[in-house]
Amino acid sequence: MTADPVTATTATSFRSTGDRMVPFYDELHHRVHQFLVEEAALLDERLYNDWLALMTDDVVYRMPVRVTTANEIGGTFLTNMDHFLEDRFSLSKRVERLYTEHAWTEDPPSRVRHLVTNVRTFRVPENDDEVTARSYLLLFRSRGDLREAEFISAERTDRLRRAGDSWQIARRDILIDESVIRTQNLAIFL
Amino acid sequence: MARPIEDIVAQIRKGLVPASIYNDKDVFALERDRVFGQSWVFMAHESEIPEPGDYVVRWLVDDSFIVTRDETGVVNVLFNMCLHRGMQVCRTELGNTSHFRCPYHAWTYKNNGDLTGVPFHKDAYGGNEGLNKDDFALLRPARVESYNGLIFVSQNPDAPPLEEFLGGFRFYMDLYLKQSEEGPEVRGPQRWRVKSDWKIAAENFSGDTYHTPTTHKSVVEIGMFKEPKANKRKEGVLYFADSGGGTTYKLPQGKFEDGMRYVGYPDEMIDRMRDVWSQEQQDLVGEAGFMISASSVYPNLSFVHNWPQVAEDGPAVPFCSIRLWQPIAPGECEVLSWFAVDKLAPQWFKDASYKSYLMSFGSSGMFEQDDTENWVSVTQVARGSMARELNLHSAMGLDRDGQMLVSQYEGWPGPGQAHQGFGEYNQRRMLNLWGDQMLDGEDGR
Repeated sequence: MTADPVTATTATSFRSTGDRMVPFYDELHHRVHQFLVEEAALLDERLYNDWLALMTDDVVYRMPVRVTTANEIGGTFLTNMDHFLEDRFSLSKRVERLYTEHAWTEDPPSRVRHLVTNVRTFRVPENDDEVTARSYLLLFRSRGDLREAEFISAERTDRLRRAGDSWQIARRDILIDESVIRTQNLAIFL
Repeated sequence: MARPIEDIVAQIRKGLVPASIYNDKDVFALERDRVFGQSWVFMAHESEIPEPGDYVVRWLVDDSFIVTRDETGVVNVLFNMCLHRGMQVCRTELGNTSHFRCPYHAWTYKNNGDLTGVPFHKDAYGGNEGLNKDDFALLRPARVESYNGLIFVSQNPDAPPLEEFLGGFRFYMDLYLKQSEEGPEVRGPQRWRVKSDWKIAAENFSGDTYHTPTTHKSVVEIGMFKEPKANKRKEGVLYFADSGGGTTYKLPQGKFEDGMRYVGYPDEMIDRMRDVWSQEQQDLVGEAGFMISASSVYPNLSFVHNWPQVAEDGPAVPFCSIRLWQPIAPGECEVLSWFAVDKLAPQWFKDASYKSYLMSFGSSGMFEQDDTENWVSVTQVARGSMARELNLHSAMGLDRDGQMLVSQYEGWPGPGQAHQGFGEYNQRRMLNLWGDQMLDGEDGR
């Protein structure tokens, strides 16, 4: 395990493709930004079935485990351990569970706010059907009346695929900033 | 202490649990000394540090330890504090290095703890005459021993040998973590903080089959795990042997290989299990017809083995997880959760088993999500004045005179006591071990 905590998929590859970043004034960027904001609203309003419909059939939804490693090793994620490594089936089961009457951890539900900022859009070389979107996420979660509110900070890299006038998520990599998560569970989506 | 510890333990001996033990700063302070200062506590699995120079950093309550494999291949557990000015010589969670160099004044230690470098050793200290480097190796816990690749430490120099402490529970531990000559490879851990007392978790894993039909109802409803229906869970045997105990499910009638196939093991893995497991271990699955599920070793190590469905209309796929409930503060623990799979398992099985783990247990697992919600809720209300007066009922399986409602399960092939049906036998055993230590700091037996 310790031999290969290498860089997660995104960090270096985008620096070298910075010239393909779509300018903020470009309509393509606006469309992507709007999609991410609307997606966040679905989660915050707990419209999970609508959210699930935004996933492609071949979606990969991944959140690797962050670790603190020395500079020279380069990477700060475990390559073989994740908090999430989901496909369409497992995401659909998670959603289905939240709609049962016995998913106690979200009943009563958390008040969740997905704050999505610093959105950047990148063209994918030789692929007009897909774009890459990178965004910062600060997730606020409040449960009950006594507990302290919890935060999760992360960067997300999404591969979005055109679906009519809008997009679907073909891949999402969630790069969480904490190695030890400060919330009781991940009964939430990021 | 809101209640004298003698009074608390007296209640525990009767199957009653003073609720405040789950969130009380005085209880926590005493636990730190008498439980975690005495017990054998899990640190790491050897497969996390396979190569010379590999290390991981782990905590034992407030003490940081570096678990290293040195250049000769030997495992060392080193207290992560420079002997000069107390700096942590290692500030990462894992890596590979031959030396740890303190960033404060550059005292440098080999990965076996030996002090090798002191800047200006001659000018500043008069060389070895003034400061003999041999006398300044990184400190070590009183005892370090391994069983089957699981590295434990104890701060009690007089603790019994680890294998003696584990005792009969080793029989069951092998079912999780010795599925071939090679043993498991582990991944992780996932780490997350839960505002729950560590004991609630350890007790739950040790024997709480009674919560499964309620707490985990949603997972059954979505068709992901077919077993936890109330009657099904009731047919399981609860066992406890020396240091720990666990839960099982009743299997459909069949031979050893039928039971292992039922939960999703391929024949090649079953063949290897047959090579390493004793006849009695195989009989637990075959003759007796039970499959291991969750378990705990006192004080805060747990295991889980389940077999959910990970694809539409797909078969059950089993997984194993190692779990440490690390105390952080009164009413708060950190969960460390590893995925474990046999090294010789085929790659397709490793992938499917990992998927099975992620869907059901760990930081995002659909089973575990509801457990943590419950434990946080218990812990939150355990700190008040009413909770100090409340003795929780933990006498399931006993009548009002304290006599067992059911006799021991006849023909149980493993060591220790075994009872079929619901009962809080194991939670009581765990808390009685806790009580022994809390009273006099004995060895946890």
